[in-house]
Amino acid sequence: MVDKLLKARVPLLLLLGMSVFLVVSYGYGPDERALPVLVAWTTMLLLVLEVLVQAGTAVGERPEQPPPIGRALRYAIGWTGLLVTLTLIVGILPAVFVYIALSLKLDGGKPLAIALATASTVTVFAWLLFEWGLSYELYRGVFT
Amino acid sequence: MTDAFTQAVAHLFTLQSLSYLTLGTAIGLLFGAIPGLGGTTALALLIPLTFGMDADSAIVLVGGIMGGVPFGGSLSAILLNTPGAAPNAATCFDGYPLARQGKAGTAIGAAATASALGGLIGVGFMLAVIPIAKAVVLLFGPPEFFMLAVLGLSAIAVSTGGKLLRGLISGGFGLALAFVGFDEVGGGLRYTAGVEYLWDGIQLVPALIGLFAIAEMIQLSTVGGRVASGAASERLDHVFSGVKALFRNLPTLFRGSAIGAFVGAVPGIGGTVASFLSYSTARQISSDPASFGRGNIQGVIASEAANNAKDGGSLLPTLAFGIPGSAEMAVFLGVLVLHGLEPGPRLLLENEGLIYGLIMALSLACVIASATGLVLARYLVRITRTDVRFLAPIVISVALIGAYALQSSLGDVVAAAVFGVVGYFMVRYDYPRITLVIALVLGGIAERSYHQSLMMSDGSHSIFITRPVADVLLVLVVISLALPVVRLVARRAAGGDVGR
Repeated sequence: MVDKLLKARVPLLLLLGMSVFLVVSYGYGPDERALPVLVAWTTMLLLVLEVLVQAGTAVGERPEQPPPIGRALRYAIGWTGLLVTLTLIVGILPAVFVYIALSLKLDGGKPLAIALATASTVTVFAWLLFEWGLSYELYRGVFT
Repeated sequence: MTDAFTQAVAHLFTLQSLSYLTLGTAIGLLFGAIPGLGGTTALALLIPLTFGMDADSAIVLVGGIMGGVPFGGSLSAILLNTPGAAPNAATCFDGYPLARQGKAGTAIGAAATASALGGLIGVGFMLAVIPIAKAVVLLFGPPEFFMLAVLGLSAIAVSTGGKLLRGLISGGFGLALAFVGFDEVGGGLRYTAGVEYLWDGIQLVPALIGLFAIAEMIQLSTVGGRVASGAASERLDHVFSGVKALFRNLPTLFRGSAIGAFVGAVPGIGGTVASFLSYSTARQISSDPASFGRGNIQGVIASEAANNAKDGGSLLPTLAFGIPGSAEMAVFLGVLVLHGLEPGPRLLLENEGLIYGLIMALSLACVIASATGLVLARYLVRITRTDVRFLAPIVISVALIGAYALQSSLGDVVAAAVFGVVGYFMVRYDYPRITLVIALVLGGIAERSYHQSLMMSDGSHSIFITRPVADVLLVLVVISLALPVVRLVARRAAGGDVGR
């Protein structure tokens, strides 16, 4: 039983999320929650069906499962997280430069000169297009 | 009419006007290709440039921009799975798989031709229906808008092929996300968890950037290599094979253009719905629906034809009634007012030459943009042969800057990144992103129309089945939901593999 539920962990997680949405919906007035509640109940019904399918019951054949999350994926998501964090702290252009240079050097295994040249090119292009050409002021970070 | 048309032609084919048109088209292509910018931003930024121009020249410049943006967006959608603007998202579904198979040139060729012809058909539609436009537009009230939204959702969900259940689940979550933010009915805030950024709801462009561009780059980073798994051809004959493919699929072109022009003419629905509806229709009536999403050229043709035809359609309510069908048209309305032109029925009567000038500029811009795309295709496909270790950080960076530039909001940067991770996991666990996106687009329209309809009928749901146009749409909803079941039964009867 536990094995079957583990196989259906993704729809179960989604079911939990939609349940929270439903509970929150009931905190609003009748008009405000009319469609959200309808959507939540319908989606939960569909998710129960999906749980049954994923658990390999008679409802349907369980689809092929993806391979386990590997180091490469953690890196990919980690790099994106790094870019966002750097953007919030030092601003967009410096963050883009540091992110591209580090990513190319450490993750892509490119020579330092290539990494720095690519990072510089993209940063200058972004500055030229957005700040100089379009007169956008890109975010400068928390220190300015 | 003949005099006005002749004057418009004479004005357009001067060196000055052609220069403005080419400049506008180039700007449109650039803004269309960069995620987060798009036509609205291009028009808004260039309004000051038109201050010193006469109205005719300003209209030509604006027509060039509006004609260039849709095809610009399709280039990034095909090459990088990154829709330049929301209506280009449907192009990703088959354009990008073609690029991964080394057929980016074919996809660009088909997209370019479909864009040009779709744009021309849309403009032709506008010219043809101007006399009866008011009557048609007035047939659509809140119940019809609601049914149109339901039709959009049902058609898209069933078009996910063997993933109907997961498609519907994704759609449910998309609707839930669409309810976040300011509630137009009650006037309060919903599901914001105290986060100020969410007061305006989930923004579509950052969500699209995340779900498609960033998710794809994360996916590619995990496996390495290149976008195109095979050798991406740079030969021009592959580009022209896309052009030929379009002429082998003319019904798809005409159907997509008709859907685009019609949906574009309905205010408040927009090009995203048009291209998704066209894509979904092409898939549903295809003899090989399973090939959609895996690189079927019809998917590219259907979405691009609708995306370009919608401009002609959306000009109709904007010019004839002063009702902008989209944000881009609202900005365009501002350009008209700036030059002393008051939209409405009188505009069509008193400035006929100007209207023809705009229509011709828009048509010519579609052709110029597409011709440019065809010429550059052999160079553009090289992007798909770039090492993903180079490509991913650059695309993610530009995508996040684009997300920020949209409204100078750091929240949009975070939202794009979050949707990137969500999109990656949706791909990984095989939940269709298309239904989530379309639900996000239609959720607000559906809810607003639903409540307006009930107000009209004193709370009676019978209003959804007692109006002729709503009835027609309801029948289409039933057909779209019944079609997969009929197909399933037929395949079972034939003893084929029915899948999930």
